[in-house]
Amino acid sequence: MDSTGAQNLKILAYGCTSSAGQSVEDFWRGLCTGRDHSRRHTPATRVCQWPARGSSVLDDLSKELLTAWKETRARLGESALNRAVLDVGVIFASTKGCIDDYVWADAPVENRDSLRPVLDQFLKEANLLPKESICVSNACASALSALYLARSWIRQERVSHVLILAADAAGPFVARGFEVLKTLTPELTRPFDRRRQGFYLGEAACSLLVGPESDPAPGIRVEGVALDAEGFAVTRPSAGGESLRRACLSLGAVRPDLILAHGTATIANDETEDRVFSLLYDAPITSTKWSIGHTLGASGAMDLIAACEILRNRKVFQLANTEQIDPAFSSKYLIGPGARDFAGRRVLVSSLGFGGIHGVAMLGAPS
Amino acid sequence: MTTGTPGAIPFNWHSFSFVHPVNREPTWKAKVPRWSQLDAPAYGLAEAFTVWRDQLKRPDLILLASPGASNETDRKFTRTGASSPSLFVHTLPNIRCSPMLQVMEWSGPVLCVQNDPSTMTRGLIEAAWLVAAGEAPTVWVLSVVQEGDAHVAHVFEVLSSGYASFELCREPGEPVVCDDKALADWLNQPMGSLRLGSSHVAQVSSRTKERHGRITDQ
Repeated sequence: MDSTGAQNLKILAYGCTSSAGQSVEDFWRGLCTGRDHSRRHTPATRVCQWPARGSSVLDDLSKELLTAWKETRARLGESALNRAVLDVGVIFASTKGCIDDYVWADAPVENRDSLRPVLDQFLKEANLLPKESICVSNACASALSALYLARSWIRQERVSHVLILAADAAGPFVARGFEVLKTLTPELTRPFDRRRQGFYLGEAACSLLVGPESDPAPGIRVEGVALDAEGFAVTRPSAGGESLRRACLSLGAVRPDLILAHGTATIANDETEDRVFSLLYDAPITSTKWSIGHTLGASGAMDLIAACEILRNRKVFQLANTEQIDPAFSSKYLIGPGARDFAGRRVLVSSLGFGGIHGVAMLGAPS
Repeated sequence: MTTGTPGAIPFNWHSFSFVHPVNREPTWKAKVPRWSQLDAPAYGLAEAFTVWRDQLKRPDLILLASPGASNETDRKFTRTGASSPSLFVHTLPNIRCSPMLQVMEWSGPVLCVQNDPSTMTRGLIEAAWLVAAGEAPTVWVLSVVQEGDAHVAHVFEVLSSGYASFELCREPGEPVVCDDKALADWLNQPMGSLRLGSSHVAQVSSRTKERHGRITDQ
């Protein structure tokens, strides 16, 4: 039960594709060996860290999601899979979906959002008939927002399980936007480093199946998930990080043993996370974007998967590209290549998005 | 519940029609730096809140549900040669809510959902579930739609109790796709009930205190 007495969720199985490879194992190995799979994009092209497969971004996204879903199914086992898909809802989290497929065309196009076609194509190819399905676009907090909504659906007993899909393609539209915002680094992504200059864009597709804690299949517990949006500014959090702080406090008194921070290596993001986490917790901080780039709407889902792997393997990766922590920061950071043993039981995952949206989730080791 | 139908979820609907860009300063200009760089939906929601603030109960959760997401701003961004930072930030559909939050001085959970061609409809259904489950006693569903040269900002105030113009009744049935145009048409001329999907119908409340409000600012 969580702090409100309501039933918790469990993450039962997951899969992903990213620049690290076509599986969770590839992603995890890269993190634990200090391998940086990210790279700078070239102007006016896809970042294209996936092999170019389809004739459109829509095809690419749905195929990558299908690969992630197949890995999820394989990890789940047949009996648990059959139980879950009978009464499942599906939520697709993304910032821009397949926007590059039509936004550059001069011809008028149907005024449809760029996310729902991706979800519809995935459902068709996966042969899934969910009871509920919807798309969530909460900037870089999209995946944790999907987890928040999934918890509601399960508590409302509309569905017994929810498949959370998350994906973004770093095509010309997104790449050009982040270029003009000057958040892309000319060198490596170095979260919390005194020399940090921003991030590389990355691409990822993830699939996470969540169910009630009562599900007999083993899983990682979701002990809490919270969202908070603030009206401070469009592109940066408030200086004191009040909104992130509120989101953390609404998780209750439970404290993490490790923090998997958003860690974009931008000045504003890292300052806010350090300020809030050093105030509330004494847990050490690590992050994933140095290894696979910033995967935007999928980044929260990749971090949830990384947190699940930490709790399962009892190992934690470090910030491999970070050399010297910003001297103004007060939190503890795990820096250097390689992985360490992890004896803790709880990992906090955080996502900060443009528009002042903040998401946090507390994951717990299986009891 | 003080609505006419037992178990029904009451809701009010306000809509605000406006032309953007505007040629006068908004009353909330001091709260939103660089307000003149806002795109139409972001401006419209901040203005809609200002217009209706005295009649709205402050929300516990906000659902942003705009048909077409940020397509209009996305295309403007590419037409500028994809070089305008102020346009790019508004290509994230959740951002349209941020200036309104600044004007409201409110913080809390916000979910930007997309489900075209029934995004606004789906926002109402999600709000009904959240209110019925007690997860959020008051939910706003916000939507901005382009209509010709003008825009219309919709504010749905979904409540756990109280008087309201409309109500949402849980009524399982065959799945239907009630698109956003059908919902808007029905709201303008509500006759009988409107099935929104497989779980809810919308209908005029039998205990309406006052009619919904509309304002045209053209």
